[in-house]
Amino acid sequence: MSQWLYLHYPSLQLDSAFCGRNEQAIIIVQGSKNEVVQLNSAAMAQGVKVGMGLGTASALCTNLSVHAYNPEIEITKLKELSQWLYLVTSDITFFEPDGILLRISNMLLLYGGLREYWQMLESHMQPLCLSYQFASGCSPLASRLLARVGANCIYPNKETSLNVLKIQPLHSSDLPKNVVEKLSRIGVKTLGDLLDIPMADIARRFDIELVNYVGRVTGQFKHPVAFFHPPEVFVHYLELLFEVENTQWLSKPLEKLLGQLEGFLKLQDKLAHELLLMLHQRDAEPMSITVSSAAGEYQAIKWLPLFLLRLESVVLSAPVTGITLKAERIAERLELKTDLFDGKRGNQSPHELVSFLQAKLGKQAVRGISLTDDPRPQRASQNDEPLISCKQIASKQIAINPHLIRPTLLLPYPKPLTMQVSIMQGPERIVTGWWDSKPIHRDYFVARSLTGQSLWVFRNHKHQWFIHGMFS
Amino acid sequence: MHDLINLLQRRHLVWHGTQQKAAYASQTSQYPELDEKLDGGFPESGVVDIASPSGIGELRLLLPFLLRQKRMLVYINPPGQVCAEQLHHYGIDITQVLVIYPDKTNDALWAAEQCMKSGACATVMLWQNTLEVHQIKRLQVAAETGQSLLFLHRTNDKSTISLPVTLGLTLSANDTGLDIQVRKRKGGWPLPVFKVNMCQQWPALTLHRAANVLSFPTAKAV
Repeated sequence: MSQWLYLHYPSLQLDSAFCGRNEQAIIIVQGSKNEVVQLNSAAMAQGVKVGMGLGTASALCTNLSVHAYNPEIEITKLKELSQWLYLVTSDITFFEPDGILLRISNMLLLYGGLREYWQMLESHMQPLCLSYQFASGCSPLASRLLARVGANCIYPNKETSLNVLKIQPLHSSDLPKNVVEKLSRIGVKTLGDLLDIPMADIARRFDIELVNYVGRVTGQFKHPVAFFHPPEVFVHYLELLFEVENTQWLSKPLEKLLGQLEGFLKLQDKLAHELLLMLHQRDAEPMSITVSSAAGEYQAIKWLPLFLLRLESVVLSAPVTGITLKAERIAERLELKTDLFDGKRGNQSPHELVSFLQAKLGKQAVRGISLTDDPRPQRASQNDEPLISCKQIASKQIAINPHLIRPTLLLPYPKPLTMQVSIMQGPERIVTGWWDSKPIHRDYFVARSLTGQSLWVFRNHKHQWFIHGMFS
Repeated sequence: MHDLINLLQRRHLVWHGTQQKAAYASQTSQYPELDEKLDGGFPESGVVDIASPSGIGELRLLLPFLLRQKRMLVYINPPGQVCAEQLHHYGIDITQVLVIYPDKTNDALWAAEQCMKSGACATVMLWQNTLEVHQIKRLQVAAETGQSLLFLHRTNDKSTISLPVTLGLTLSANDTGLDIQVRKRKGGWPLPVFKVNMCQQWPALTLHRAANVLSFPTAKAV
């Protein structure tokens, strides 16, 4: 039999928007019903109550700040809250828009008891400054009911919680109004009255919904819940307080988002390799900026300079109204080995340096070199992504041949030989490439020009001479 | 008098202008002639200015030295495509090689400075013809921070002002290797032209005749 704990947040929107003490009376009004749903202590002191109409409330209190109720805000806050709670407890599910249900039976062994668990949970929620009501119960619905009526109690066993549950009036339950009315007509006023009726009798007189409800409240029927799993992707949007035309001013909001990313990555012990920043512009298509780090990084302090370097070269077509940060590639952290006895030389690892250079110069400008097993000289040496370890494996397989004569610098394209040279060594005939559309038929020679330059020249099958490289 | 000088010499109280050690820690270049003239080889960190026509062996002069470096090797603006095949067969780990093609001169200098001060690179090769004194000074500071060495390759030898480099060399080709003139040396005197023989390292690229090979007699014109 599992135990459940329900946390009910009666003023989630109010608390998340206006944290801390406020002298100003604030109420949150649900527009469709025209009634006050949430209010702060200043409004309460003036006599405003939950369920009042807006007219009554404003008559009671002249200086009233009124906000519209928005369940979206509460749901977003609830998700943040679940992520926060996930640090200390595992099975979390939310009851939108204002409740969180925890399965506590699995956690008791870890924390050594119900009391210790609750103490830890309470201190964990302390910094959030949210007001909440709580109750434990033997089923999700029972704990929800008790929490919503404000029981604020952790019951040590099933019996005590059931006793408290039994005295609750039916209208505080989740049952639809017409069912409650029907039940009250036959004299069933409290939950205890309902639970006393045998299940078979309820089934005969009422519909299956009520039977299900009773079964779920008592824990006889299984209540399926979907547990929360922290997201594996990081996408955060930040609405800017004012429109920004200068990219330098984006650094502060960006820092905030990167800070959130840092927390996200730290919890998962992962590193981000590529981040995408979207600048949402007024009346224009959002602009995407990609910044990558070859080594992978989680710290905001390391990402920020990379973004600032990149933003230097960005030209905005319209003011920016919001920014979205998305982690494109996330990977496990890898250990970086450094030699203890080499001493301190600078403070960047090769991967960090490469990301730094690429951020300013662009990916195309910073290249590594790699070797393929193609016998054509212009294809054997290639420009490649820098510092890739799979490249290392591929090139290690090609045996070192110290007698192979190759120039130190190749020309990007062979150019016709126009000067007088003398042949020093050769020919080395390379006739290959028949498998694709670029076969070559060349005799390579080492040649020396009159000025002493050593050149790598070749003669093709039409007896035309070209320079292909220099022995610089 | 003679005893007194000996005594002073033993106590290192006499300064010898001619037997001065180089003002920098050096690493062997693997060319005996060069090592001898430079008191040990190339500096461990700093800026080496090399003025030479392209294609005469200015990189081959450095390759034995580069082979012994453990950190990254960076080429900035090379006048061609760096040949991975050659480096690999020579024994250099090509995964440690970075090639940078910046669009602008300032970007090239910026990249060189970043690479040098990062500490991740042992050697940076920069091809750039004109450099100012203050730019060299900045590069020197970066070299000091990252314990790295910059080889600055220039094709013009027409610099009127003396740049504050650690070592300045002018190279020209000869039949058996290179003619090297030391234009400037930190803590040392400029040296006149001397020959560096590359026959051993690069037999295919030099015009040497081995002593035990007789040339084929040519037919006498009658």
